[in-house]
Amino acid sequence: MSGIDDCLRQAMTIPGAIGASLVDYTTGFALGSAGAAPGDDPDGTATGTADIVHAAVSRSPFASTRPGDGVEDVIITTAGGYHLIRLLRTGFDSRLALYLWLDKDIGNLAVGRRRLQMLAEGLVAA
Amino acid sequence: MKAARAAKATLPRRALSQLVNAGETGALYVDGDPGGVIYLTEGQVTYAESAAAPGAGELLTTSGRLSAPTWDSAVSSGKDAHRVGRLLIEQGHLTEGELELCVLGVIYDAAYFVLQPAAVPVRFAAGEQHWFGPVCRVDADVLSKETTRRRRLLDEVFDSSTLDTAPVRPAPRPPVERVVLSALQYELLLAADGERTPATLARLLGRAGFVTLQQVRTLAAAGLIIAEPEHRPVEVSGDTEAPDTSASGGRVAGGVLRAAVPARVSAPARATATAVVDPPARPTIPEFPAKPVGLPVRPTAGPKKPSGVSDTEVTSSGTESIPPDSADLPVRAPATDDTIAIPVVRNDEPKPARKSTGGRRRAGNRTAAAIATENLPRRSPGEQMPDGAGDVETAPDGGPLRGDAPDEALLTRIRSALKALR
Repeated sequence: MSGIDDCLRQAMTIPGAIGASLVDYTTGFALGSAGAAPGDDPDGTATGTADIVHAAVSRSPFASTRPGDGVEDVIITTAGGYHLIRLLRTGFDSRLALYLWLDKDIGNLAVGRRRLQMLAEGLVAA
Repeated sequence: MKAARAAKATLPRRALSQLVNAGETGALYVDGDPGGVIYLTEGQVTYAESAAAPGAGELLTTSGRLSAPTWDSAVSSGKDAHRVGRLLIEQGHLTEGELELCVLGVIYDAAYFVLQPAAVPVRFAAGEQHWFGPVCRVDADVLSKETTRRRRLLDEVFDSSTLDTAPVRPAPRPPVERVVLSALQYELLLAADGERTPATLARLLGRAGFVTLQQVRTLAAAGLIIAEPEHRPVEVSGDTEAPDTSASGGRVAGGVLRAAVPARVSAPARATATAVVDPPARPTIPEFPAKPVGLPVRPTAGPKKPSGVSDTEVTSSGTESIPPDSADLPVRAPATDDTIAIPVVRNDEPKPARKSTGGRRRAGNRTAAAIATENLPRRSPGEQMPDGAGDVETAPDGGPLRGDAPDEALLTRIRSALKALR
């Protein structure tokens, strides 16, 4: 029924998915979430996601090495998992990112990233 | 439909939670600046609007996501049935996700301005719904909590609410040589003309109201944007510092920045900062003569290690360890270099005095208090002195001879003590 909830539900069907959320990185606030959050701390996850996006988008030169370039996603790998952050591009003013937490043993980074990308695109384009 | 229930001043947040607990459906009108309306459906927030936050239509059309005619026709045909949003989806103009994201953003954004932490007149129109139609529901508690958090975030950026409502314009000259801007900051600086407030800028640019505030404050903290003078006296004087009268445009920057405190910035701010730095150093100079204890110490430390001396001077201010030194030093002839070196750092006046007169004589010149302090410590070290006395270099002044050895020991002790102090 709901576009956002539906998107997060589908994100949880990605192999190895432990948790997913939609984060407004202006303020580090989760507009929606599903599954678990690292450290059982959804708020901390949201603010952490926002911090990382800011670091990648506005505080480092990676985002604009050439014209038209821009951050697509940020991937953090840990010993036990993958943390994928996919920026959401809407036609109107927004600063949103999809966050996905994958189990490293079960999940596949490439598959997870691809699926997340499709979900992000599906959310904002018919 | 608009059955006004209450019109007395209350905290909007409290009014909201009451209505939510009662599971109400309707519109909560909140007065104040900027004020706004929060729409409830069965105790959940379904829409919010405020003059300071662009609505869904403004966001969608200014960004070019929807053309103005598309939006207008959806509104005209859907507003009576409260299903403008649905219509946009049904007609294929927006995806469900887009609409939800847009409306959620609008709700949180507007709620920030509506739920201000001040008691204002509120009234509730039971049953009234927004013409846009329900798209998603937000828990009112989460909403309240988030607005509080946003307020805190804003103050962390730059603790001055002055800029939230004042017309802003770019600072005449950036305080740094190189300026890096985000796209939004660039837009803001271009559009800030000294008449537009952040609220009007937000609507003009189709950017969320809170983000606009956040970026305006960020720019202000960097010294790149300033409030128009007319607005400052009112707010600045109310909030904080000495009211800069709005008289001069040039001073504006200074005024705003001063309120800003963060030292990072503008040319005016820097100027004042340096001015501040100087005075503290100078005032100490006159104090030297006044501090008998302090003076002697320096010479002692000075003789052997001129370089280190300056440091010790700064840190040491008549502490217990110092008096003994002072006693010893005067007795022994202080090397001219040393004595010179120390005062030079601070002041020239002491210099001549020390050169001309030996340690002893100097003591004589001192105030009674100074002598008293000298006497106390002199005894114990003085007794040991004689051992090595007589040999070494006598003071050029012809003052009584003292061995260097004891001094050395003392000096090292003093130095280590000073080092520890540091």
